[in-house]
Amino acid sequence: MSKSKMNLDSRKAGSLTLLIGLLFAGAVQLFGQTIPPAGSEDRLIAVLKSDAAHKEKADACRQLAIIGTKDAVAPLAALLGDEKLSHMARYGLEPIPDPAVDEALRDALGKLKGRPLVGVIGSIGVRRDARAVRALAKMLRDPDAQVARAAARALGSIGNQRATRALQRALKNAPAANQLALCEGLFRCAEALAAGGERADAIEIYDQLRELEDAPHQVRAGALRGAILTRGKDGIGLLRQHLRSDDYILFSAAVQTAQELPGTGVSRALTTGLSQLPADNQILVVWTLGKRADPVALLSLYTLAKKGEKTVRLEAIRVLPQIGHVSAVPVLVELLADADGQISQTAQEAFGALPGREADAAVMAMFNSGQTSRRLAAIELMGRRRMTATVGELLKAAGGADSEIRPAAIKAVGELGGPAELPALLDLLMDLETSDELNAARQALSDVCTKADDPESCTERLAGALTKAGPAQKIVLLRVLGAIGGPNALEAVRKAVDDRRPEVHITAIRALGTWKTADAAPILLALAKKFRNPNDKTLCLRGYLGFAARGDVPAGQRLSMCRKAAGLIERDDEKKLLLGALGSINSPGALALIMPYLDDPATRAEAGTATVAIAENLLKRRDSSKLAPKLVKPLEKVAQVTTNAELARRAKALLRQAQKRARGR
Amino acid sequence: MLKKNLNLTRRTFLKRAAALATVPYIVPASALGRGGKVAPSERIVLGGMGVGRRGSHDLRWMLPEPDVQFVAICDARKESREAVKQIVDTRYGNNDCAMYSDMREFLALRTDIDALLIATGDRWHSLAAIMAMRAGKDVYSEKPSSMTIAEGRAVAETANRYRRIYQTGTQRFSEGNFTFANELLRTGRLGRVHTVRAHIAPWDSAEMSHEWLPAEPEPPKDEVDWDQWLGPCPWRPYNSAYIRGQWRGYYDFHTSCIGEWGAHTFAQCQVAIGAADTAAIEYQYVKNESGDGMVTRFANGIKMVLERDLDKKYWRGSCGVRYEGTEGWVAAADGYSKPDVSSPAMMGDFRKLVYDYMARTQRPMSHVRDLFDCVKSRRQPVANAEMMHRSMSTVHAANICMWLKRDLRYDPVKEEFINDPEANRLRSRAMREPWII
Repeated sequence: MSKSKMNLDSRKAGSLTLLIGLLFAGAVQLFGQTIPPAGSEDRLIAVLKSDAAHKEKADACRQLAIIGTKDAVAPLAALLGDEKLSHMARYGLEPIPDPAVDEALRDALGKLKGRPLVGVIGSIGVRRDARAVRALAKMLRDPDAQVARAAARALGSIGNQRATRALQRALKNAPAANQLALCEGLFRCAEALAAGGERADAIEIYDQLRELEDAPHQVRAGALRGAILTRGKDGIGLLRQHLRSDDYILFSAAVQTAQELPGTGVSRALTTGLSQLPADNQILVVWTLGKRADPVALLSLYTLAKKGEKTVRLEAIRVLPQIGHVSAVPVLVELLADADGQISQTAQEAFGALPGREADAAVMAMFNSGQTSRRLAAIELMGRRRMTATVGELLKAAGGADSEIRPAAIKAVGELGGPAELPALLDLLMDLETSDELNAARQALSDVCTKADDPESCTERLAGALTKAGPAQKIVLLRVLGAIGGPNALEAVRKAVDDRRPEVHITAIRALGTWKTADAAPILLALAKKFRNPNDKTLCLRGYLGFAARGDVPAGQRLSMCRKAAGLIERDDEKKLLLGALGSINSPGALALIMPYLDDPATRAEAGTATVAIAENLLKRRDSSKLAPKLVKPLEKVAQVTTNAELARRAKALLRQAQKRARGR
Repeated sequence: MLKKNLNLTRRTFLKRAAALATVPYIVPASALGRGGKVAPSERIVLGGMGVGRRGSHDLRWMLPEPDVQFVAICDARKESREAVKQIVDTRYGNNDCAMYSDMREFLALRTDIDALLIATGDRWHSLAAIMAMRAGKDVYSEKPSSMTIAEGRAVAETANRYRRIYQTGTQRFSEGNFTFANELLRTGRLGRVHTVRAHIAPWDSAEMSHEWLPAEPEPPKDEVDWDQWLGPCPWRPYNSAYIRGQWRGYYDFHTSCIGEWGAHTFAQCQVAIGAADTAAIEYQYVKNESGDGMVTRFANGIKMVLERDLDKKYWRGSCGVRYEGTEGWVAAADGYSKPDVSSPAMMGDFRKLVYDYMARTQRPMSHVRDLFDCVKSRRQPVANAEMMHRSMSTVHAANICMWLKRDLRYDPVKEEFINDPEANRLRSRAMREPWII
């Protein structure tokens, strides 16, 4: 070789290296984003033609899918036979709106085998290339089942008359393994033909599929649906016929199809002969009648609701509110008194959802009856139906003579009333004695106060009532104040901690411990420091550490709270409370506080559990490699000291993970 | 009190299911191959596909249902298969849960299975649901229901074609707080609603990674079938991080911070404003990474705003929705004991609205129970394929808007972007053979 030639080659090589270098430098910039920069098609095509790595070529295909033109078709098509890049070539080609793509894909049909061929057939289907029908039709007999099935689906997507005929012919002699794919193809054809106005052809397909021997249930059912819907009004005969079918698949397909068909005629078809059907079939029809909400079905539903198989009765009652007709009121009133408790309960639930004044009037009639059970049912219904106009009547009943009615009525006042009912409820409270009534009053007071635009505006009245209330009433009021929250309520509850009566004193501490906001935490800490009685102190610490375990308080603040509490901890149960709070704080700082408790046999189990829980959570974090070194010692310690085999196993597994992450793996 | 009442209702529904299901606790051999018949009194034979951490939650909700029996799991990962088998066998006190690694074999052999729990990674949701429904199964699929607009349409078409029952795991549709919020809006208590706000995940961005993690040696196929794990997505070399769940944030596998929570919240908003059968028609590009603040508009004039809500202005929990009308507003998110409302008096109607909804629709406050009820009644569940396709179309369009960095208009009837060929090309992605629809 001459020197000059060598120099020339060397220069060429240098230029090529430079070109590839520039290409890849651009590629990095090109491929970082989903959308390539405008005007980059040439560069992407150059990547395809170069010796670039698989990744760069795949990226180029992906971007050409968005901006590729006719110019990109040949370079992409050249990769269709490449096992590694065939998919990405189609990825690039499939969305390019140029007929050259169809030509390239058709051309590839004759050249490919196996998976690349299956892919190309799929892309032809996606593009609905009618000119590929003949080639695809031949492939329906391909010995490679995947090819034959892909061809069937692709022909279905093309969905014209020729594709249909090819599929229909193939279905007659198809091997069982390909039957479903051919059916899929024919379904697609039927849908395309029906959408194009060729209903008769679509119906012919559906009928062929309906009559197919040994067809899977979903094909028979889908074909029946298609056959009925595509026939339009003329489909009701077919529907009626299958609503009486002994074949449950066809029966249920007919019922399901009825859900898509409007009209009283369809409802009548569903109700005709309903009483003669087996219970399961009746239930299916009942559910569909409810969904259709056609009043024409009511008489049939009432009949089924009143007598017969219990499972059918229950479902017939349940669907009545879906239709929501006034004529259901007397039926449901009658069923409320049914001897079967499940029937009467279901009737009550249905009654609650039945709209209309007539239903409200029936409830009031029950309320005004002398029977306690009917009155109780009426009160439940008043709440359920939101009969707010009945609050006055309920207040009377709340202070009335019937002790069974009183708690229910008080509760209903809370449910239906508002802040305007607060004075009346407080007056009632002062005379209440039984726990049922007191609980009902607590619930009602909380309910009406929380409905105020500013619930704290109720605090003054509640705090005022505290001064004149007996112990039982004070307990109720403290709980209500706790439910409302706010600074004034907090002050009132704090004062009540000093009450000499133990039940009030304890209730006040508990109210602080379940306070809505962490404002109560410093008070509880101060009380814990102050109290000499160990039970009081533990109760305060329990409440305080409860705040330290709450997710809505920042982790740093919670850790600081635990540190403050640690100095007060003495008893084992207090230590366990502290460990419970620490276990919820996912921080290495919490682990440091826990470590000493691993040495104490009384707290070892709780400390081990808390350590493992924290380590598990920290190792799930994205910055776990930074945190991992801090987990190693605590986990080693747990694995070493715990007597719980399962905990030791978890600790060891986490330890391995932590060590691996700490090493940067 | 509200929760207690709703729990009572759930017990009622369980009792109802138990009362209807009168066949023995274990499905007898004679019941196998019963040809797709699930009458109200019969048990539902359940299987699973790709049940990992999230799917295990679903499974634990499903197993206690008295008329359901889980019989088999299919997963490309041996570790996951065995974990599910352990949960199921422990529950039933036997060793009967069968395991499969290849879903084609699984679907072909287990003709006795009526319904499938699909809780694979996002990339597989559509295809697995389509394959399952073609095989005659009803489906509970984790969200998102699709990776592209075209996939979502194919799921809806398949469900109709074979009259299958399909539910997406957008479980907030079956929770009291969210139901209450929707019913407040539906019954006019918020006045004329002009704006709804949909929470999007406050991490990551709309633009996703196209990078590959470094190649690691592929495990034996029985341990991890990598080809099957990838499914319809472009091939890339194996890396164990993907199978440990670190596939989020990759374009091939995920639907971005918008889809992560938007799969839930867009659907909630669209159902609330009566747009369950459509998608947003306008998308206003916002110059940030996430789509935070993007205004989308529906044909009924209502705008839906995407919110990351980093300063917690609208919500205190995840996956929040907020509806704003001329008479008031309501907001709900995860972890709320009750929804936030503009006026506390609105809460008085909580029980009535939720119970009326349940009676009117016959839907329980249990998402999995809604599926099982629908398997028997053949009604479409609350998060059915068509509805989920429509709301996911809004998710996909919002993502495409962010990728293209320009405003978009969308025609929900033709399911195409108006005068934007590039956006239209992003409605679908060619699936990797042999995993083609």
